[in-house]
Amino acid sequence: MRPERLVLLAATLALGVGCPGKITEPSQPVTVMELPDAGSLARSARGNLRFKGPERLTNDFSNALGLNADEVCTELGQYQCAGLVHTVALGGVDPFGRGLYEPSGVTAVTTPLVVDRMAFSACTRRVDKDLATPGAALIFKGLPQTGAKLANVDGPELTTAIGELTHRALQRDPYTNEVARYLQLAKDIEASGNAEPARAWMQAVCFAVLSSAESVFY
Amino acid sequence: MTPGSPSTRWSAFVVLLAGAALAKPPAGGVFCATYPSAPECVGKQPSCAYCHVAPPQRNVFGASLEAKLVPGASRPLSDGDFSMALPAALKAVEALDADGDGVSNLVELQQGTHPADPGSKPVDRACQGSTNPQFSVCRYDLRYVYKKVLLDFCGASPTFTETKAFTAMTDDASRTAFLGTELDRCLQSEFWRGKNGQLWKVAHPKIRPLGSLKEGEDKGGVPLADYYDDYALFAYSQTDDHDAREVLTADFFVRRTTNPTRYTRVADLPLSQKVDRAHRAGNMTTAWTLTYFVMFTALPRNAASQMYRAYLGLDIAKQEGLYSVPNEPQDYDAKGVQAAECAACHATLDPLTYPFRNYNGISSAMYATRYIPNRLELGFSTLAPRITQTPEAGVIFGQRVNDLREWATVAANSDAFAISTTTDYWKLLLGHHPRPDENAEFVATWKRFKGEHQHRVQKLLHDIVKTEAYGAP
Repeated sequence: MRPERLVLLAATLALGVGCPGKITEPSQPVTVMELPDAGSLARSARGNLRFKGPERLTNDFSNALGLNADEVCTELGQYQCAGLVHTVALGGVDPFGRGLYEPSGVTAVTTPLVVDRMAFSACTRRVDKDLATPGAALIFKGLPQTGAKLANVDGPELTTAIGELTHRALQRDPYTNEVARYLQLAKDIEASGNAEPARAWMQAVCFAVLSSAESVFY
Repeated sequence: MTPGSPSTRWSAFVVLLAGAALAKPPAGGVFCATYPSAPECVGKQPSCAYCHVAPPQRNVFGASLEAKLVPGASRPLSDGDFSMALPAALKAVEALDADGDGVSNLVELQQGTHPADPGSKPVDRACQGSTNPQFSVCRYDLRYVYKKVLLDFCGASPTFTETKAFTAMTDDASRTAFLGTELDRCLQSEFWRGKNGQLWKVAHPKIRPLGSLKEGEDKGGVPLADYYDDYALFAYSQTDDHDAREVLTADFFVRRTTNPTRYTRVADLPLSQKVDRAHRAGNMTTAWTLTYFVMFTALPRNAASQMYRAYLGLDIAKQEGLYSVPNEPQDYDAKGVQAAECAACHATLDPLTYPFRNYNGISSAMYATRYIPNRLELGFSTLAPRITQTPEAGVIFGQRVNDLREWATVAANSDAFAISTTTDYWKLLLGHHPRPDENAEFVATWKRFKGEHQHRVQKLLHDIVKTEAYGAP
């Protein structure tokens, strides 16, 4: 099944924009892919998905959002979420302190909470930066606003932002249903009466991508 | 001759039979003589748990077997009678399905699944459905492997641009070559070899650090020894073109430098390591091992069993790796280990421990973490009447060794060491012990590691990455 080619030239305008994080490669044109019929997909015979764990999650979130690793998530503003506070919940070890020499091998009840915590923290930081300096924005760039609202919730620049985020977090182009879902999300947030719907949408779409199964397992 | 080879198995079998009067468990050897190609017998032997919940209590497979074992004969059977009768009993239950999982005992033991565990049975890996746009889930997929290699060894996904460039390569040969280069690049990364990196994670259960006792960098509250030296030797032995066996056999130490992390061989570490060169055996004789595993003990069974577990994958507490030695245990330290419930394991464990007799822990400040000739005579002579008769010679895998360095050499050259090392990385990279359907690839991998690759971990890692087990989504 071949992807639908919808190259959005607007994305190429961002070429050469410097990124504050580790990954500084220029933006790539966004192609929205047609989602295959789920019923026709081949089923994995092995099904050996692995949770990324503390270090890989931190690195991938950091790279995806152009943040330094220590900016991804801290508790009380100073204790690293993955490297210190929630290491074991994320499947890590604590050999020197608690004598936990090997990971448990399974995700815990609190693991999803910590993943959500990290994703939301990192996304909040990225959105804050992009809104603070729109000229140097990494992901949510070129999004016209009217006050605190997005000027055009159907605009191609939103699709470009979704594509940029998907490229950086999932290393692929977005599917049509993903784009449609996130555009609808913008309308839903605006309709909800949120005081800052533009910011809330950016945080929400970022969170949805970073906390997805595709993002946290490999 | 190494453990697991047919000749070794038969040697062990004969040794076990010779020890019949001491109630040594010969079942593993007889089983493997009956089914030499069973996965449980390739480089190892089934543990007691194959037939027992905890001896003498049998699991469902053991119970079905027991019923066919010279029915009517008085119990307990002698080891000799048991050994003679077991092959026929095994044959008699081949067609049965002890755990009721729908798979016969024979198929389970041929496939390497557990005949007493209904949750363990051969898995049908047949592919279903058509194709996926991202990965080919039914076969080795280079795109999938590329992402995994970067995550597993570099610690981060490739970027979108890198992924596209990889996909755009002209053919699989180019992609395969590029993957090899990327793997080598990642093996230099801090994520892989740096402090608290992936190699250190493999080492944690072997070294079993304790922060409060740490000396030197990151000093603890009661600093006794610097286990970072142990991590350094471990990491050194697993990187570049170094021989992994040196983790047990090295008569040198390794210094770690940072930014970037490098491991460099040095003759001595006078500030932290005290065992003289002639008596060093890699991480078995470091200051940390002697501090933590020997500590105040005359006969440090804990040290021997931990080395056996950590570097050979044989956990005596789980009744693994039992190669009973005739006329053992002697119980030189009068701990009561000749009791029947103790002797089955101690007939293996105590002869493993004797070569540690002169390695001092922290029982004397003057002699702390050193090799002291006549250590038992100097410091423990009043502990038990026969303690000073403890020999330095011991036995590992049924083979006599004169001292700990010989112990280390036999251990490092064994199939068990190659299997254990390969298992370490299999678990790290796949997240589980080798599964029955992965057994053929696993066996081929550890045999190449031991043979063709001469115990080079870097080459082992390239091999694992090339397996279907690793590379088929």
